[in-house]
Amino acid sequence: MWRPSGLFHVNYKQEITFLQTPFQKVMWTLGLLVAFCLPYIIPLGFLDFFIRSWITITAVLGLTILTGLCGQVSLGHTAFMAVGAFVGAVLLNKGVPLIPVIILAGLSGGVVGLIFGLPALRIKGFYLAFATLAAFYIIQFALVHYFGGDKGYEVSSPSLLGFSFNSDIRIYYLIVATCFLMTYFTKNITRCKWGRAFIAIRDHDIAANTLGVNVYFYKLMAFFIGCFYAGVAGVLLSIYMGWASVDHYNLSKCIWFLGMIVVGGMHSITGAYMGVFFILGIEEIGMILAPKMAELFPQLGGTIIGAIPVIFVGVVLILFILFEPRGLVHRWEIIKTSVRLFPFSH
Amino acid sequence: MEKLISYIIVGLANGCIYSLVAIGFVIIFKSSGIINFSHGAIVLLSAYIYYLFSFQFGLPLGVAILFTLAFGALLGFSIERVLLDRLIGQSVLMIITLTLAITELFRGVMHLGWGNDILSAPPLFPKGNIHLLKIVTLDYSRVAFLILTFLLIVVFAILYNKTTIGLAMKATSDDTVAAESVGIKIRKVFAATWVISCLTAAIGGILVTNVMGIHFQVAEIGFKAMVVALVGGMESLPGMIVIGPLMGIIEFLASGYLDEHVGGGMRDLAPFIILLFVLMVKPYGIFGWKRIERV
Repeated sequence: MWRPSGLFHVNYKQEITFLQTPFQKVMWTLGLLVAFCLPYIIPLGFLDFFIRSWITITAVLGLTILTGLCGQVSLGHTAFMAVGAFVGAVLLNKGVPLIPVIILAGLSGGVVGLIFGLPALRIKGFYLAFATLAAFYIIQFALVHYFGGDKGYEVSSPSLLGFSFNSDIRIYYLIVATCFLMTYFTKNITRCKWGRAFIAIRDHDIAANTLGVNVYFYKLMAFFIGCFYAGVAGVLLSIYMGWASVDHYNLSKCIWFLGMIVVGGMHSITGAYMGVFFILGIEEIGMILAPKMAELFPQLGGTIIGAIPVIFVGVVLILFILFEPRGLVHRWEIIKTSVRLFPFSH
Repeated sequence: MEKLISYIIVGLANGCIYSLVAIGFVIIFKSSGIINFSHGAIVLLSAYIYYLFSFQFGLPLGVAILFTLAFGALLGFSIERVLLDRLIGQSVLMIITLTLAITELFRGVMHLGWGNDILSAPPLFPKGNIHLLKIVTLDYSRVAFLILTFLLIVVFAILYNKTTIGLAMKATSDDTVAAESVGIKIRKVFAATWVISCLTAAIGGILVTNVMGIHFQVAEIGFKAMVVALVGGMESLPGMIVIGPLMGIIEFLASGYLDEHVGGGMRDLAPFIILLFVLMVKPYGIFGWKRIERV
């Protein structure tokens, strides 16, 4: 791992600490503080945006592990979210406590992901992307026809130790806490043996195999872990929406998830955060601008409101892939370096 | 028995649409190794453009068709030159995301321009049905579809085997570097493949409007065609010709015999289930080339 000059590790304990540089400590503390004070700082209208962002971050972290670290492109991520959401909804309505529900929803997403990740043992790249797309359609079909249908399930507001999550602000804290926990897991996964194995497989799977990495096992585990995150994000979204329905988990969302990890920078947690806030921010700007544009061009009618955010995001994605394929995180590193070298930067 | 035969013939006619669109994928994949996820959106966009010229502008059908084809060719050329040309050497994920982003962009544009309603363009073929064996009825547009698809396949066979540009495409797909070293202009070949691919998409778009009407479901044809391309093997045109109609037949058989047991929707699902099995058993498709990799 990269460290600033002058910071040495003299024992193993320092080597394995979670936050290694002062900068990381400051950023994590600031991040936690801001995240937990946010509902009281911002106008209440933006709370919805931030709740959706945190849920999306949870899902996109899974995709960062699966696609960014292990290189297995998945177009079925929202379907695995839907699995988690449906399982969570059913369990919550049966009165199962909240924490087991979240874990079980994640596990169900993970197991389904494991099953549909099986083609990854033989194919990769475009073929795998398409196999996961097939998985998306199959899961959606199964959910619609056998598990609840188009209508979906109503989700009652859950409670933890007598504390009921019945308002948006309370749900916000549940979601932020889960998201930070998942971020913690992600960071640990990236720097343990498994994370290294994932990276080896991404860079060249055959070379990884000759080095003694069990490619099959780790590919499947990448699917399991990535889809676990998706399941957790799914159950969080269904708790927030109060409803678990297939409509919340469409293919377009999945394309956006891929876009988020590309825009953010593929293999880093910071990148996932940046990408999610950036893309959702663009969507939000589009949604704010759309009614104004509808007034300017009345002949286009109401369709403009749905279309503008999609066009915005599409254009931003294309521009990013063309001009900044390494993502926002790369830009961020450049800024950090130039600040660090300030008087003598090139 | 009568039901079975009618399913088979209707499925055959429907499957030709998939063959036609799948050829578009295969041409691009053969030369540049890219699977174009936005192909379905391009088909739908050309359908809308055809609607724009023929209905909204009221041009004669022949002129409208010509303009739509020109639009398709221009679109293919500009996508290749402006977007994908800069991505040579980038990872697969980038290219997948780029084509998906193009899909999203087109989706937004189409939503903006034409809304959510089901539109129908002026018909190309006279209304009417052909009765086969006294059991099956096919309308003229589907029959025209069958004939046109086979004509196009013949054209492509000639293009790939007899013309210079076709042979250059074949060489490029075989080995890009070797092709470049014998003097083939790779960029020209890539541009040509995209133009041809988007032309087939435009033809598909025009024809599809006659069978299905124009709405967002049409873009799903792109995915179905991709299933056909993957099951057939991405490198093989004969694969497309065999698997397309076969997939159409399987779809209709599945919806005819299984829908009542599972509650509908088998027609859209069956191809994907087949795809997953084929990918697990023969990862590079039934007629595809097995690729041997090394470190």
